[in-house]
Amino acid sequence: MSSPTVLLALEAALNAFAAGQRFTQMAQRATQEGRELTADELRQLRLEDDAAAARQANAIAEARAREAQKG
Amino acid sequence: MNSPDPVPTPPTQPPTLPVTQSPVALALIVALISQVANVLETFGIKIPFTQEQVSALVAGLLAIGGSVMALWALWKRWRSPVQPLAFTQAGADAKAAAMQNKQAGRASVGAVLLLLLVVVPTMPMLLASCASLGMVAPQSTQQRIALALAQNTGLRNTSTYALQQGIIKASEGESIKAVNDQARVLLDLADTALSSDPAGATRNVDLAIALMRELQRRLEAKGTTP
Repeated sequence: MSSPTVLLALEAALNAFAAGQRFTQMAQRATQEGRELTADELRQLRLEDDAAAARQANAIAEARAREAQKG
Repeated sequence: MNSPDPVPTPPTQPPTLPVTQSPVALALIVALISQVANVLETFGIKIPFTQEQVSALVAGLLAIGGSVMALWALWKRWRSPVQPLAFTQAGADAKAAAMQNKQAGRASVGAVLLLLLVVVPTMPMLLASCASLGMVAPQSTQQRIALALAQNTGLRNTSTYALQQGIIKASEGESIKAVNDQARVLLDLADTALSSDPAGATRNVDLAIALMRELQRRLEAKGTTP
């Protein structure tokens, strides 16, 4: 197994961990306060997803430029 | 006639490994824990971990145990007063002991190589299992939407990393992003329909999660295929 693929597997595991922790923090706070998640909390998650989508689009554009340079 | 003092010779047999260092004993302990889990399940006591999580955790623990044992073996070899390959005048016994020391040294190096081969590939699995173990399970459709949104973000970050490292091509990145976007649309629809059509909302969340699982498998395949 080459190192970039191992690192990708680690990255995937860490991102899954971060997602779980992000949700867990929100859910635990809501449970402690005896309420459901608020619209603001969901909006925050949507904003984070939008930001990740923008970074994803940038990475695609950069990869496409690199591939074009290589021919 | 006085005979000269006998030269102390190293023992011909290596000392028996204590139970904490024996791989067989470790395997027996793991087997015993599995059997205890089976008995608990028989009596209706539910263990809140899936088979995959337990397998991943055991594999990770064994890898960590192996690495500790390898380092311990190296340290013992370093601190040992008997020099490897020390062919003394004490005869065949000393020579045999020296050869055993040499083999122990080779075993230590082998253990380190094994550590690199075993620990590094199992780390993601261990991390993934720990991620699920420490996580709160979503209690409502709204919480499922929240968790799925966070996971969608995580998948986007992983594909961004794969693109930046050149592990996937731009075309594949676009295809992955399209699935992420589709999952997001389904989650937004589910959130909108949460109060008016709870069944529809649940269906949309299920669909989004199914899409994301497929995406996770795709990325995992990229992360484990040489």
